[in-house]
Amino acid sequence: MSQNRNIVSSHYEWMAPCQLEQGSWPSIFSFQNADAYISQDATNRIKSFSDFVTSRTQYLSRLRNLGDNWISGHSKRPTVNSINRSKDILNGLKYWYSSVGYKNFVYPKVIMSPTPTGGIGMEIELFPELRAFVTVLEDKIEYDVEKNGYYVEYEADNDNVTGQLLALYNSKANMGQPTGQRIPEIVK
Amino acid sequence: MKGDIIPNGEYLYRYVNPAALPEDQIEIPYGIFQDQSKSLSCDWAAYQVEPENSIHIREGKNVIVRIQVCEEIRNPCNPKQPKQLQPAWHQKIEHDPIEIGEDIFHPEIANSSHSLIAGLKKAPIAKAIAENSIIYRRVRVDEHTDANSLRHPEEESETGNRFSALENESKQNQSFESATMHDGLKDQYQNPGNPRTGLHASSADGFLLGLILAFIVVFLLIIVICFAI
Repeated sequence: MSQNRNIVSSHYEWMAPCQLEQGSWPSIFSFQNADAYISQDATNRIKSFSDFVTSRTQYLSRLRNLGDNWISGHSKRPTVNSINRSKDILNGLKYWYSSVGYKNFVYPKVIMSPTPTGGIGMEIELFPELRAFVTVLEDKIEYDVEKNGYYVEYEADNDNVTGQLLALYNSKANMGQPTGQRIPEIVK
Repeated sequence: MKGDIIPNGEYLYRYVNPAALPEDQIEIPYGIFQDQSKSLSCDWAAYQVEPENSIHIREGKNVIVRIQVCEEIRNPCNPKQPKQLQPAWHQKIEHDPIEIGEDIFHPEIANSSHSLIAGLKKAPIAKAIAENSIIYRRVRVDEHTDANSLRHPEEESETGNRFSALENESKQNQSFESATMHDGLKDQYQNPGNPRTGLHASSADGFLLGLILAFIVVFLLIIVICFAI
């Protein structure tokens, strides 16, 4: 498995993080509650996200033993290719969020499961109002983006899905800049 | 009757193997509804009054997801175009009872509650279904002895972990309806004797034994008193 296939070529830093206030809550991990997220410092947030991705890649590995007929109706076991490509996407996200040092990132919330057709479905909430629905089936990756409640279908560049998702993140983060300045590029 | 449209507000059940879901994930994923066959099989609650006794539970698909039929599922639309329905996204939600011999997986049984959510399952539609669903119940597998032989190898440990997760969930005092159901399930875990009444079988046996002993003691006392007189 090529761990770094989906890594974006350049990184951008978002200097103005979301306001962590009640009622305007940013993305959190599935297992975290709001208080736990706020109380963490940046280093622990990075570690938590890294641990989260590790737990989800282990979950994906376990899906190889799931077998067919795992949900009522017709259902196939997730294919090995679907599982591996999904791991690539998660690892790409992990690398991007954790490899460039301190970031007050809003980490994505990821909700996942197999699909009855033998693929993997991942809902990746980059921001509460910006979510991507990524469906991986063998080597084919499709995703829809819900932006402020409006759905748009995107054609996935299978070699750089993570990069495409993070470009969405950056576009949203850039919109959040009060001065309208372009987010500075991080030297790799 | 076959072909009847299921009205809004009705409930449908779908059954999932717990091994298919991450242990600590409390949200319902949209992926489980993304069936490319376009026809999502469900059981209509109006006819399936005991989903815990479904054949799917005995096959290890013991997480019951309950979908509430609504317009958001039937006629999804892009919120920025609220007056513009998406005809290609329309879902036909209908009763589709199965007679004996019709189900390729279980030809030996009929299912009068079988229903379909028919239509293209694009991500927005699958998400709409997920957003109108709850985890209704996680049935303990050994409530059904038949299920033990069908259990997934990893399921036993997962069931335990899931119960711990449920307890944590309850502690967090979450307001999900599913949490209320989890509390009910927790009661059943704590009172495993009879899953329906919560009465512990060994307690009932002990009470009966005590009653018999008391009766014998009283009988002996009466005999002793009679002899004494």
